[in-house]
Amino acid sequence: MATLTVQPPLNPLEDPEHFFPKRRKKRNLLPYLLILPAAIAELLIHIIPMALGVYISFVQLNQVSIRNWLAAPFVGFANYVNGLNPAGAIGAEFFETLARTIIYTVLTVGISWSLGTAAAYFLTSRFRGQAVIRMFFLVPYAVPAFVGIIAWAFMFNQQDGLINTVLVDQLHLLQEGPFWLVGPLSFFVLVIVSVWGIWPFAFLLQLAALQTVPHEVHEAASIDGAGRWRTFWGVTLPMIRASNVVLLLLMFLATFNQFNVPFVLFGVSSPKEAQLISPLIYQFSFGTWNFGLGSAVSALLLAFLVIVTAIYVRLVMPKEKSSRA
Amino acid sequence: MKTTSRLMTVLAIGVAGTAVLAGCSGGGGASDDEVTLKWWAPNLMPTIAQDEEYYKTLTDKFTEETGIKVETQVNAWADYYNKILGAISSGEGPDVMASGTTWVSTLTPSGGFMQFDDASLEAIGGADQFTQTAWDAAGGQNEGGTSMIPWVAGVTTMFYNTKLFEEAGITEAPTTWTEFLDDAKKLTVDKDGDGTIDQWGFGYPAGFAQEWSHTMFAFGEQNGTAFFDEDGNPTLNGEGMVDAADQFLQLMTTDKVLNPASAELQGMSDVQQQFINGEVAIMFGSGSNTSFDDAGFTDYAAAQIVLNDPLAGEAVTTHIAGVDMGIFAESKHQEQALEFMKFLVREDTQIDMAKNIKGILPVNSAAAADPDVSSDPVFKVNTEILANTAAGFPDNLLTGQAETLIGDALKTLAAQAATQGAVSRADIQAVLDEANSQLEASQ
Repeated sequence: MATLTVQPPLNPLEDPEHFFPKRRKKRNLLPYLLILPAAIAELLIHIIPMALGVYISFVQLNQVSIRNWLAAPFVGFANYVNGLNPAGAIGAEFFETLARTIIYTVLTVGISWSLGTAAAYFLTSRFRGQAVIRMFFLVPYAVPAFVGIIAWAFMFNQQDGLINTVLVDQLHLLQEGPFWLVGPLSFFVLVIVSVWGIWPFAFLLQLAALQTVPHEVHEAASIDGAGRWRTFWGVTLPMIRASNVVLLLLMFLATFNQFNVPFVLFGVSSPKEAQLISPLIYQFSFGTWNFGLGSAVSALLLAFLVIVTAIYVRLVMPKEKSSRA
Repeated sequence: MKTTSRLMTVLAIGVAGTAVLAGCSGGGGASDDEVTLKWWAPNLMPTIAQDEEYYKTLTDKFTEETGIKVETQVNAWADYYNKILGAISSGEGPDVMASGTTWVSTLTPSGGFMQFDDASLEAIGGADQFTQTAWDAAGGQNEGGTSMIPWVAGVTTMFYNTKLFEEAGITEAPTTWTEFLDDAKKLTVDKDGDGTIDQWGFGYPAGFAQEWSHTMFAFGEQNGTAFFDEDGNPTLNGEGMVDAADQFLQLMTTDKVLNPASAELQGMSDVQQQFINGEVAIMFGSGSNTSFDDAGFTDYAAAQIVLNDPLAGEAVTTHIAGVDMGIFAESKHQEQALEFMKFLVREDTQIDMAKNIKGILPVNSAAAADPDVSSDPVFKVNTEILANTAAGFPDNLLTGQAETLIGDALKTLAAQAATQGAVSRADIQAVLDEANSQLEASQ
């Protein structure tokens, strides 16, 4: 016959060992093991090459020393001086390109952000065909970069491209088709194609951010007599500030480092008027095999971006905290 | 819960371990008794597929004779320089590597290629089997021995459309710049009367920096300036270079025989297609006849590129193009590689190559003199050019950089010529000055 024995309840004072079982001191390794593959990949693909890049900027690495690059002669800051001296040929080009890249980035990010935010704002309200339009807007982001940019290159071709055919032959706006991929207009082509590629990213993020803004806020604003524009600037935008801050930073960094668009549009060497900093570094390193110089300019670029980001974060983030309080 | 956590831990270790091992793979091949040589071959035919097909006939024959297998990889020229760089810096590469002749002076000092001594030269059949110009261009005069062996030579030739010449009433190919300009002007016509020119006298890829560097080399010499002076200092902005740039840019701006839209052409294939379509009547190209034959286009003839009249400098119409072969310094099969090289430069192989790959010249002198091979008219023209007006690229550590800088400078100037319709000598001097100071800064 089975008897059911009922244990009396444990008394912490009489029987502490059984009431408080020994906690396992063993650490749970699982979280660390789960990040391990990612950490290794990050180390191998990003951190170590970056560190090596900085090392290379302090040595003279060209075709003579490339075979045994660890033994390349140490030249201290010579590469930096070469790259930064505004009176020198290379330094002058560096500063000019840096200035041009800043202008390009401001233009591209400004236009993309405006387009993305506007599109997201208008697509938050329900209307017929909303899903279809949303899908169309995302197409540039989904198309492989190379394919999209090549299509643009064909369109901007001076002789047979779509743009000139429409402007000259069909709309008769111009007598002669201008050159888009060479000459001064190439800068604007660069901006146009870059905006085309990145504005859906802004659109996506803003769409998500705007969903978090409750409708009641807009109703309250309109009751108070604010027009649509005023509501947008005074109410909606401040509410999505957190997302905006991140979005602008991401777009700035991606655009400043832009390499794909100029490389596919213009080939190995960009026209002077559309020279950006990343293709310039590529040219220093792989066009002329002067890796020390290329690395020095890369390191300077890294420093510049870190400083800008730090300033941006300092300027923007503290206000964020105070608005929450 | 505990078992799940343990299972996850094991899985995580497994994934991490596999990831690390996967990343560390490579280079662990077992050594066989059978040697397989790796060969990086050049793109000499119109398509890579055709190269692969032809090279297979060569390597199959070699394997039959020696039992050594060869694994061929055909490389497009576009990024090949970088690929060689990657091989040299990593120490991982093929056994036998092709290289462009203009890269020899840059690659040799890297030490990435085995230097040939008397013994290894004997092993490939001796240096005497080569034509002198090809041998010198490959570095035959180098102290310590050459690092490259010539394989094929090429020159830049002038191709013209015989039918269009006939229509314009031109009976002979031009030999001087004046004649060339005259003919080109006659050949620039608006065929259908719609106000736009649809047939241009001259075609040129004005957006192709590499081609500009070749043209500037030849015409710089003709005008009295080389890339470097006798002491090896850069002279990209010398007066002769400015003259050479000026004369070519004027083709677009004042003489109007070159379509401004050419400033957007980034490769030879575009110009070749224009030539085949009858849109341009004269072009300069290296081995372009292969593409013409491939397309079934026959209304063409070849001639030496024109010389300036009066000639201020040297009578140079082309650099010595071509492909050299080197043995990778890290190769573990140097003996077999030497045997393969011997096969590649042998008379019968070179004759076979000259017959199958149109547009190139064999470097083996016996093969070059073979009657069977030399009956092709373009071949005859090329052989004469190679003997009379071809010069090797300068042997200077900075030659590769000079090539890039002068090419980019002219690409910029051509863009200006196309967009603004005019380029002054001052503009040209300014751009060339900048290119030269960048070259000086790289020293």
